[in-house]
Amino acid sequence: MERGEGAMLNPIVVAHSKNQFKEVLRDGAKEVIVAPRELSRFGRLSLTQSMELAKEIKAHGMRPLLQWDILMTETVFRQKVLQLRPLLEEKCFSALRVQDPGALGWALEETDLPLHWIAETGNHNLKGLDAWARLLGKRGGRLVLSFQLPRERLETYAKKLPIPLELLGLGPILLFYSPRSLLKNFDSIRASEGMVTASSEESAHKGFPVISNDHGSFLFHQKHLGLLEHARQLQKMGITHLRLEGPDPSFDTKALRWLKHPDPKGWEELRASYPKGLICGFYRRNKSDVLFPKLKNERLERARERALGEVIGVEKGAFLGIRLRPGGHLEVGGHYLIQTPEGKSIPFTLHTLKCADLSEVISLSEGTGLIGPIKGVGPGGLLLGATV
Amino acid sequence: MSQIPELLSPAGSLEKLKMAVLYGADAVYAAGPDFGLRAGCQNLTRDELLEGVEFAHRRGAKVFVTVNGFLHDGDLVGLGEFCRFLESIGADALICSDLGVIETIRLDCTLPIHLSTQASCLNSWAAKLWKGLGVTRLILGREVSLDEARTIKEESGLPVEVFIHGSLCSSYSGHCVISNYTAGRDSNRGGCAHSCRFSYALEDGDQRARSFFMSSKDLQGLSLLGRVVKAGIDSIKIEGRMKGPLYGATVTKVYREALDAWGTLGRAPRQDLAERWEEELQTFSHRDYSTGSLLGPAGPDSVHGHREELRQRTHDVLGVVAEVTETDVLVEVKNPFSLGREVEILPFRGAAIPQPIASMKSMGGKDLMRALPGSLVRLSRMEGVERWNVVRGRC
Repeated sequence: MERGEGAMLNPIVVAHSKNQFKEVLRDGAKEVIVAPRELSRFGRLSLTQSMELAKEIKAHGMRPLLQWDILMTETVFRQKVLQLRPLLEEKCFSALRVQDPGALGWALEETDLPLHWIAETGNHNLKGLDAWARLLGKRGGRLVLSFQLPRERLETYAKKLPIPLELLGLGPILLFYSPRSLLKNFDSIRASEGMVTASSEESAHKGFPVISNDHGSFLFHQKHLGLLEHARQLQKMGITHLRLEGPDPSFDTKALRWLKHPDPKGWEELRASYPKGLICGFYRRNKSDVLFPKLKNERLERARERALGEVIGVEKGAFLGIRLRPGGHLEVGGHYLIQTPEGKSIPFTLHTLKCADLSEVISLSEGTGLIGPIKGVGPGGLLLGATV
Repeated sequence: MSQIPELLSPAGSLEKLKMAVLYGADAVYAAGPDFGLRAGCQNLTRDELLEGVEFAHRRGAKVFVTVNGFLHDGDLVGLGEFCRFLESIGADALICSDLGVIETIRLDCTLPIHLSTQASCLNSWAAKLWKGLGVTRLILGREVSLDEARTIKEESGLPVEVFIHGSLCSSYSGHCVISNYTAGRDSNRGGCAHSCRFSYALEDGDQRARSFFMSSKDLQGLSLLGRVVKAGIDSIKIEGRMKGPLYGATVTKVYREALDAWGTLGRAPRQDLAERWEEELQTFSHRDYSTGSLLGPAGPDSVHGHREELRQRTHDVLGVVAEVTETDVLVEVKNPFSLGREVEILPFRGAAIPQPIASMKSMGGKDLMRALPGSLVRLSRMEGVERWNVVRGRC
């Protein structure tokens, strides 16, 4: 498949009905995801409807893609395979899309369909994605990439991965997927169509849509991901497929038309008419990288690596109790430092040393030692050698 | 005697590692400073990992090191070298969830690779796929029942490990990124902000409800150990690297004693023992208990539904025994207690030892009326007390 400058960015849509499919047919989509209710997280079609729709899509020269993206325990997996087999035997699908590693493993052995591995969860390094790509082998597979990957990373991956790559271009951002029916305890709350919202006082973010169905419970960001304005950039990078999952088919149609003739004014009009706010998420930068290093106190970490012991008790004006680490050694006359949890380094010379039984000693290499008080030192202080 | 599973306990620090081993863990899991899923935990320095491995091995226990974050490209720097270091000190296995991490590790060391629950391995086809990718043990997703775990083991030929006790996510592991978007903290690299524990206002048109609807009850599988043994589960895992010493010590001890009883008797232990263990599991702070998905899919009754502050417990941890001399027990005080209080020493085996505090001195030998956190106090030596025993008191 051609990639990069001059190559097509192929839009994909999801069809929940024949009418919806006919709309996108006019607007140039070449691939259509068919999502059966039994096999797909948000599918609305019966198995029979899925088969019929797939045949119609194929008859119009388009590629129907079967979506099997639920996660499954062993019991559920065996049931779903029984439902899936008849669909595959009809040979009306052009590819199978999976997100459960078991579904991937099963499909690699039991079908010869091209496989789309939905790697939207985790999978944030090239090594892992490359390994998945190799697993998909020469079957004409595809990787569906995480929407947490920033632009720079996407560019690198598109250059280096030997397989077509798909990204969500327009649609809901899934934040949470549980197998449990979390809204069942609330008789008055309907939850089948994303009508329920959840808001927490402990977060500035309000109005998370919640869906609860036979596959579990799903919580979404209150805004949708909108990367269409970056479509040209994505195409140049080498992303091959862009998925459109607008809140209703009219937006997928608008998006398809816009992609044919992209222009800033058209994008602003689409954006203004879209019923949800649109964000580009982590496309410019993965913001969860920013706070991550701040979770650690680097200075304390370095001190802990070199510590001879730790202050575990203080008797004000009288003693410090020090638990020695293996290799740690206290000797009367020796020079040491205490690094406090706040990062202060307090040097001292050891004048007296007692064991736990209060007997005086000259040196100690294990257990708990009692030394004289040191101003400003409390529990949690780390004992270091003075040469550090 | 029945074949009993390995008891695998959390070790969020070197102190907790030692206590877990002494209280009866067959294996512990711990993390180094980087690459794991508990960035907020103290974790262990390299020296502490070395000390921990030596301590555990001397007592016949294993140490598994977690490198189970969903790492980004930059995070992989140094991973290979860290794994070679772990191999050189004798660590027994690595716990991973990311294929890129597994690929990196396999280039640099030959340590066994355990697939973390974070990878949500839920069925035998997934197990076989991961086996082909180099995994040698499966830590199954917490949605898998014991019967399913047995099937997965039989079909894949891989040893299986299941969680038996501790906090549960209500999402599939690895499939929650709420805090990534709401707090800028990557939940799959150790920054989870526990958004599932918040109270939420649910709205559906004009219908409203307020609830902790995503907050799961804690898992407690003590009553299911017979089924665990029959299913041939290879390892039972206790969650809780970030939890305190009273939790780790108590839970390890209870499951150790229960497993030993099953192993010896091959049937359910005496009712009075079972009751004592159940009481022990009430002594530390916990959410309401449930069996999670161990018997079948977790239902609506698996939701905790309360504020975190409303957790129950019957005891507080008061301290940890730092030293035992010929005449004294030196206790590292964690919570205050006064002269005259009855405390309990939790021995490594057997029932808790009640002990009224008839006398108490400072570490320097002065009489004391009250022990304060951050101090060491001397209590009269008691029979059966050992270094690293937990000292607790009724609330």
